[in-house]
Parts: sequence; C-alpha cells; structure tokens
Amino acid sequence: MANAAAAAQGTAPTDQIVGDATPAHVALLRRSVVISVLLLFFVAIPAMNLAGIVPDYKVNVLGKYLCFAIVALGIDLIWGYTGLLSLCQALFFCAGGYAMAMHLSLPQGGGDVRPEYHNIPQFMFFNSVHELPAFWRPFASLPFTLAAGIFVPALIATVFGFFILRSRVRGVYFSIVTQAVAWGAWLLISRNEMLLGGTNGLTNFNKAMTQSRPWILGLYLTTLTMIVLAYLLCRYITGSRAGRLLVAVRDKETRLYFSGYKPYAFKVFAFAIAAVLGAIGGMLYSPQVTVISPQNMNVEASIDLVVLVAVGGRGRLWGAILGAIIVSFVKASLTSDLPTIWPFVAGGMYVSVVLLFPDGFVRLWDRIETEVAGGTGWLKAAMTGLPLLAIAVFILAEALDLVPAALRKAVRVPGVGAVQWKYLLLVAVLLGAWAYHLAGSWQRWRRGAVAAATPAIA
Amino acid sequence: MRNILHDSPDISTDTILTYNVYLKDVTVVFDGFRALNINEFGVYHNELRVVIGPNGAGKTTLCDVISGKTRVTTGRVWFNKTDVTRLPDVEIARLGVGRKFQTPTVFDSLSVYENMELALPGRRNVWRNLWGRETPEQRDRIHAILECVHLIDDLQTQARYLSHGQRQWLEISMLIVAEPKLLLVDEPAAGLTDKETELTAELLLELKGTHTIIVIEHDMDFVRRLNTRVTVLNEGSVLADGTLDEVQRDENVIEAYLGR
Repeated sequence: MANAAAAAQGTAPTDQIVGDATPAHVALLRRSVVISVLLLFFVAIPAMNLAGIVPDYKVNVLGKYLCFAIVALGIDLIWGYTGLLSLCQALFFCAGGYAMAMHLSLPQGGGDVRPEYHNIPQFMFFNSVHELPAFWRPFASLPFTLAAGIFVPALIATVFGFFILRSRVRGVYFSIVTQAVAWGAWLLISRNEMLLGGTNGLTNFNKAMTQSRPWILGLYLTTLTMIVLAYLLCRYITGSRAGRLLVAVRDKETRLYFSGYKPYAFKVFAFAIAAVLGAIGGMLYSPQVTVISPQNMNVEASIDLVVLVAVGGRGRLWGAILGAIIVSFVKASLTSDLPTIWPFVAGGMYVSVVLLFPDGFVRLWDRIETEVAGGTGWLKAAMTGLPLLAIAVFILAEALDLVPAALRKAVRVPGVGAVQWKYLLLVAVLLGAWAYHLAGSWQRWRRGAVAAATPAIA
Repeated sequence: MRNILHDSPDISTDTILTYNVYLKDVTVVFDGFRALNINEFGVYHNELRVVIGPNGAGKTTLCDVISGKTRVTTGRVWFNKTDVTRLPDVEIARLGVGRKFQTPTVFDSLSVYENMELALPGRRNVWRNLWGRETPEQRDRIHAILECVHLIDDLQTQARYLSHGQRQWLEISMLIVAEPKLLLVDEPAAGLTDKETELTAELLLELKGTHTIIVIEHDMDFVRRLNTRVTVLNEGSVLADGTLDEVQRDENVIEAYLGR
C-alpha cells in the first residue's frame, strides 16, 4: 500500500529520502502546479491565439518544440532510468519524421505535386526518376504511414538493441555504438540513390499546415495530447516492477544476473519504447515544419536531444518535458537575438547547468518542496524557486510574443553587440537568486562554525 | 539436465546425488596464476559449511565458480544433480543458487522494500514484470524477514542511506527471500559491530539445517558461533577439513596461517 501511494504520487525512485507520505501542502502545491500548467497549455494559449493576442506562427513554433518533449520522455526512460546513454535518438525521430514526410509529399497527403513533374515529389523528377518507387507507394495511406512510423523504429531498436546489448555492452561503449549507428544512417539517407530527397530532404508539403489557423491549432493540440499520453505511458512503466528493474539495471546490473534476471531484455524493451516515442515526436514534427532533412538525424541532433533531458533533469519524467521546452526556446531566442555570440551563451548555459544544477532543474523543484514541507514560508520557497520561475516567465513571454516593447530595446554591450534588456533583466534575476542562495549557505556555514566552536554544554 | 552416468564414469551417481554442491578436479587459472586447484569439494544437502583461509586462498573464486561468475579452466561442477560447469550465471541463479557478495551489492536508488521485491522468486520476463504485483503472502514474507534483521522501520528508505551493517543485512534478506537451494554467503560479518555480528550469526543459525549454506569468513569468533564443519583453503587448494577445533590444531593450517 505504501508503495502504491508513492507510485500514485508519481515520484520516481530516485528522489525521496524519508517516507512516502508526502505532506498535504506539498501534494497541494504539486497538484496546483500541474493543473495550472495543463490549463495554460490546453486552454489559455489556444484561447489567446483565437483572440488574436498570440500570433499563429508562434503556436506553430510552440507545437514544433513540444514534439521534442515526447522524444525527451523516451530519452529519460532509456538514460535517466536505465542508465544507457543512447546517441541515436534523432535517428528514430527521423524514422517517424520521414515516414510522415513521405505521406505528406504525396498528393494523397496534400503534397505539392505538379503535372509537369509527373505528379510525384519534385526531387525525384530532378533525379531522373519518372515514376513513384515501389517503397513509396504504401505511404499514400495515412494508417500505413502511422503504423510504419511506429513499427519500423521499434523493429530497428529491437534488432540493434538485441545484438548490442546481448553481448553485455555497457556504458560508454554502448553510446559509441549508437553514435556509429546514427552516423551511418545519416550517410545512408543523405544519398540521392535512397530516393528520400538526399541532403535536401523532403519538402513541398501542404502549406496550409503551417499557415492556416485550424491546422496549426489542431496539430498543436494533438502534440499536447500525445505528450500527456506518452507521459502516462512512461509513468506506468516506471511505476511498475519493470520500471524498478530498469533502475536496478542502472544501479547494479551484476546483482540482477545473480538474482536470475536477464537485464538485456529490459534494456532492449526500454530502448524500443524510447525509439517509438522518438518516432512519434518525429511524426508530429514533420507536419509542423516545412522540410525534414538528414540534418535532423545527424549526431549533433542526437546530442541536442540528450541535452534537453540533461538540463531538465534525469529520472523524473516531467524534467524531460521541462528541459525540452526550456532549451529549445532559449536556443531559439539566442540564435535570433545574439547571432554572433549565441554558441558561447548556449555553451555557458550547458556548463553552468552541469556545475550548478547537475541534476537539472528538477533539483530546484525538490528544494522548493523540501522547504514547503519543512514549514518555511511560501515567500522563502518562492525565492528558492526564483531561477525556475524567472526562466519560465521568460520563455512564456518569448513563446507567446508577449515581451513588452520596453524590454525589447537593445543596449550596446562592448565586444558583444546589441543585447536586449530582457536578457539583462533575466541574467540580473538569476544572479540575484544565486547570490541569495549563496548568502543563505554562508549563514548556515557560519552558524555551524559557531556551534562547533562553542563547547557543548554537558 | 545432463546425464551424469554417460559423462563421467569415474564419479558415481551416488556421489552427485548426496551432495548439494560438488566440485571435481577444478582448476581456475588466470593468466598463469592458479587461483583454484581443488581435487574434490562437496557440501551435503542442508549442511552449513564454513570456508576459511588467508586472503588470496581462492575462497571467493570458489563461490564464483559455483555461481557461474568465473569459468573453470578444468574440472566439473555439479549443483543439485545438474552439471553447471558451462552454464551462464543467469541460468545457475535460476536453478536456485543465491549469492551474497563481499561488498554489499544492493540497488541504491530503490527502497528497502523495493529491493526485496525484486529478489522475490517469480517470473523474470519483461511482460510479467510490467503487470505483476506481489501477493499478500509475499508481502508478509518480506515483512517477516525484514523484521528479523531490524529493517522493518526502514521500508521506504532508499538503500543508499542505510548503514553498512544494514546493507549487509538487506543483501542477506534478499538472499533469503529468493528461497534458493544453495546460499553462498561471502563475508557476512565484514565491517559489522559486535552486536551486529551476533545478530548475523543468529540469522544463519536459524537457517542451519533447513538450507544448504556455504559461508566464507575471517572472523574466528563468528565461525566458532556457527559450530559447524570448516574447510580451510590455502593457495587454491583444500588444506584441512573438520570442526574448527580440529582445523585449528592441524599442523598444515598453523604453518599456513602463522608460518609465513
């Protein structure tokens, strides 16, 4: 029963120290945050879009980045819980993405085909192919596309996983093998002979999908729903005994052998689920972008996906979703507003996350919860969570185009260029929160040192 | 199940059947270093046997060979009428060999209860573990065993926050709850306080007579408390065999332990 309560609260085995009975006010806090977030994304944002406050293209961008959240959930399952760093998740993302793109390139999927190009995707005509290849034809049907988008990555993951993991390849070696697989696939798909668009990829989809409001909103809400479903699936898996076995694989795989388990079966299972989730993310991504190319499946893309989970926090599921949103938007703002120095800022962000928040943003939330549970005031808890709050506000403003004009004015920073006030404000708030945290630690250290120096009264 | 009669005409079926574990002409050679060189070693069903010896004598290698962690270079190993010489560790574990390692290997991120739950006997495939829950009887068993080792109040504590002694007991509990046919207990008293050692001895004595157990130990008081047959290993071979008193009076043993 105790276990059921813990599972129901959704707490992963990686966090709780004492007891599973979460105090009532912490449970209340969690529930209110979850409900507000769901209301925001499912109700408030579409309402604002329909009312004209949030432009259509912003919802489209939000929908695109939310696809990464689905992939990130899969990565959290295979990396955060099972401890296997898979560097080929972008491959599965593109397996789904390309499947859907193939459907969308064909006339039955709304693709832009012309009679002068024989009514087949244009790139084929330019490759001297005048008839739709046999392997393309089944993708005219949407059900087949959906099925292929799910089963092909699952099959690839199961087969590759079986051969790699059966021989007890672990740790770094597993990552290197997956990286090799990603690299090889990228080389393969880039070739024109594969008839998948070569290095240019697939494009010429139905323009309405990224331009008309019903399409954009529909895809956005579909993506949101899939995130919720994917989250529920992962929560079920991690809350079951199989999920605990995945954690056991991460902690002490050798122990499992001598308890009669075959860890590779569980690893292949997690790998396959992560592949399917990645593919689902890809299938929702294609309609919301205008092109999908081998660039989306190279090693760098895979590493970007892993960074999403690293920043958000491993082993907590919702950390993956949070990380996906934070990193995607921060990167998007930086690339557009600081074109000259954004790699340094992004790199600096990743390094500071590793140094200051090695467990990602979920650790901040844990601290807030501990403070609330410990009975400190809501104000102090809010101060602890200030970095998270500040970044959340920043990203929401960026995502919904709600940054006030005053903060969009730029100021000249020597050596960098024009930096908008919103960034300076964000950095100031983060530094302030960090200083506050340091001051608190220093106070505690001082108190501890004084207590140690004072002889104990017998 | 390999047919015993056809494979080894020089060993009678009776020998295989009387022993729970039987090793014959087993050598384990690592890169020229002879870690184990056993002519014959057997433990009867429901016997509690203690294996002692100086460091590097091959005690843990003996356990490794029985549980399948290490392959023998020559020789045969039988467990419970089955030839397990070439079987992988997972298969041997499924046949009923349970092992407690020298350094406590428990799952740090999981709670005490969850650790025990994973050690329960039952289906080991992915599908079954996605849906299955433990039965009330199994839950009661877990509670009962944890009660004996004073871990009943720490059910939800993550294993990483347990003390060393508690981790030892957790691992022994995991071993017990798995209902193995053979328990390989490697240094159960290592790093424990006197009181904890006392409790561990009591635990093993409770299992004595109803389970086949091989205990490796260095603590002679602990061994004396167990009051059972002792085998002394030295440099990979069996040096002496008998009660603790007999073995401590054996000249070869005295020379091996003190005359170096």
